[in-house]
Amino acid sequence: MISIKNLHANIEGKEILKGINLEVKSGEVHAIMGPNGSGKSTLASVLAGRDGYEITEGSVVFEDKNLLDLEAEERAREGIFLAFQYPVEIPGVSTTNFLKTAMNQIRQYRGEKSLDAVAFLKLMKAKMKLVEIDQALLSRSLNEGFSGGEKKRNEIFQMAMLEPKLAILDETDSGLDIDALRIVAHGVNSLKSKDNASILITHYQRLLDYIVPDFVHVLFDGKIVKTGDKSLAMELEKKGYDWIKAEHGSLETI
Amino acid sequence: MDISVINSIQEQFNKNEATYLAASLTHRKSALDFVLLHDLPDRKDEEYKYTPVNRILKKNFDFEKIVTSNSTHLNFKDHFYKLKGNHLVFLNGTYLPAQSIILNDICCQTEVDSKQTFKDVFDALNVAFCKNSLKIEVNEHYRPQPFFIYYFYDSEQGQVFGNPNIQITAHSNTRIQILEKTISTGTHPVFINKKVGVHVKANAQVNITKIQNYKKHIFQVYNLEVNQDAQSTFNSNVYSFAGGLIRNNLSINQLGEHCESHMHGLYLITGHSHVDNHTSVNHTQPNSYSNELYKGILDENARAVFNGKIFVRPEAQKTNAFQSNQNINLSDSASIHTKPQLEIWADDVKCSHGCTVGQMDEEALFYLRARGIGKNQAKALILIAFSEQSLEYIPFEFVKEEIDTLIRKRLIG
Repeated sequence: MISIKNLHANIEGKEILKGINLEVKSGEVHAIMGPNGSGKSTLASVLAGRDGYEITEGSVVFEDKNLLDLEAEERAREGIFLAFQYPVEIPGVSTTNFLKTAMNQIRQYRGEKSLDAVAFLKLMKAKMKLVEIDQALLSRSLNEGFSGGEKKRNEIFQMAMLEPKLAILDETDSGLDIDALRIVAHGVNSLKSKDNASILITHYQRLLDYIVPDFVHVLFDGKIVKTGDKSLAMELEKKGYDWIKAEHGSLETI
Repeated sequence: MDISVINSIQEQFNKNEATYLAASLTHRKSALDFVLLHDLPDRKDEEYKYTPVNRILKKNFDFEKIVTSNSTHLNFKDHFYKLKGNHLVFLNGTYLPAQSIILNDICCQTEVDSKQTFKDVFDALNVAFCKNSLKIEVNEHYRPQPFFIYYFYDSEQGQVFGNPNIQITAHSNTRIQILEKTISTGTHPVFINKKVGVHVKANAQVNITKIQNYKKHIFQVYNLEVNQDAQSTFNSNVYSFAGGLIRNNLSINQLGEHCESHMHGLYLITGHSHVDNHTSVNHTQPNSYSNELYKGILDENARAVFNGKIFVRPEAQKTNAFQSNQNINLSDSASIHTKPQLEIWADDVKCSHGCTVGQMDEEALFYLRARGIGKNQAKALILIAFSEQSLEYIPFEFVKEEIDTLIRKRLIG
């Protein structure tokens, strides 16, 4: 589905990603772990097409398309979804209105007819149940005054509505209490199919108790330095990141 | 002092002198003297620092080339809203009762009377030159149909100097709703110098909404002065979309207790449009309220000025006065000059003011794009949301829709 080869990226002249290689196939769940500042969120941003990053080397192919050539909105229309670490508050724009616009632009891009109001509402009702989100919340301004948990649930709700091929969840577990974590994980698990894939970016093994990954990668100093299965996450939880740092020695202390 | 502009103003006056009624001539002459003495403001005048009217007119308008013909092929009624109400027509600044639809016997044409004072040079210029005056007076306990005032300008034959003059009195327990719109034809420059006086008596309510979507050869100064008695409410809504020069002076005097004033504005401008809103609220008695919110979106070489003054006099205890001016600047060459100004003499009041000038929120833009919304559409969504707060106090639903359409057309294309 997505094939990342030797990806190097700079921000303001500073190299953050130093040669990432990652292959994700349909039906797979990949977890990317790593200490603060290792480049996890940068990888998510680069894949989603955020401005301000300079790609100096490497390639990303998503479903036979050169992803790096596409604008952020085109990537979304092709089926990439980024659940934000910090969802943005947009006063005056309701989630409902915003999602309707987004869905119809995606459908238009794919040559499908726009959803009428009834069909849209019906779909919304079904997906709302999945993440236990309230109608009242969705008619309010997007994320404005939402609690941390509500914001993250709203992200998963949007993901459920847009049904992406590849979902990148950037620290969706951070700032969640146990109940919210369970709801979010339930949402993600229900959306999983053999035709889609997800990349979970996380600090903690905790989320992986709920969403079981097929692969766990450790990102350190801009590179994937270790790949394993779920047991690697357990090992990290027990031993911390120090042994990784020692193995791959960095001058910076983090 | 600029000799040429003043001279041509004097000449124009002399040319018109014969057409004025003898009764008003002395008053007009003293108004002219005031103009000649003070001159039109320029950059050195603090209040017109960023809107040097003198200089702008000198560059774009020639008082010697004014045509006074009142014939036009404009069909006024075609432009009327299809609604029940008073439809009042002005052509090139002159009120035309015969062309208007008046449901209630409360509008009349009068000569400019000597009670009309002039505090500044534009007031005086208007008093000296206005052809007639429209008087709207609503008697106690009467709720008339809304007033739609259409200002037509026809500059096909030459330059037009229009001086609409309106005096509105809302007696106790009345409610007046006014919508102002300008329609123009022709390409010669037009200088509009509008003077409107409003007296809102006890328990009365007046609401004025203006749509200013002018062509680039239209230059306008609008003096709106409002006096409010106890328990009265005044709402002003002003939406500016384009114009060579738009200067709105809104001055509100709260003369009684428990007055309420709301001022909402939006300027959504591009090209070389210039919009300047100067407002002033004078709280003189206790327990009153004023709330002001002006929003601006500027693109290309547009220029906006905002100056909001709030005076809270020593007797005006328990005043609540709020003011906010928020701007989004989309271009490197657009500029905004904003200045909130509070002067408070009372010690038990709640007042706030603030102004912001920012750019498009890139984080918000990325968020919307990351959901598949195109860049332009995403920008429009954010800006529409930003501007819509200013539509809250429009009393007519169809006007809200009209303005909403103008906003969307401008932002989405």
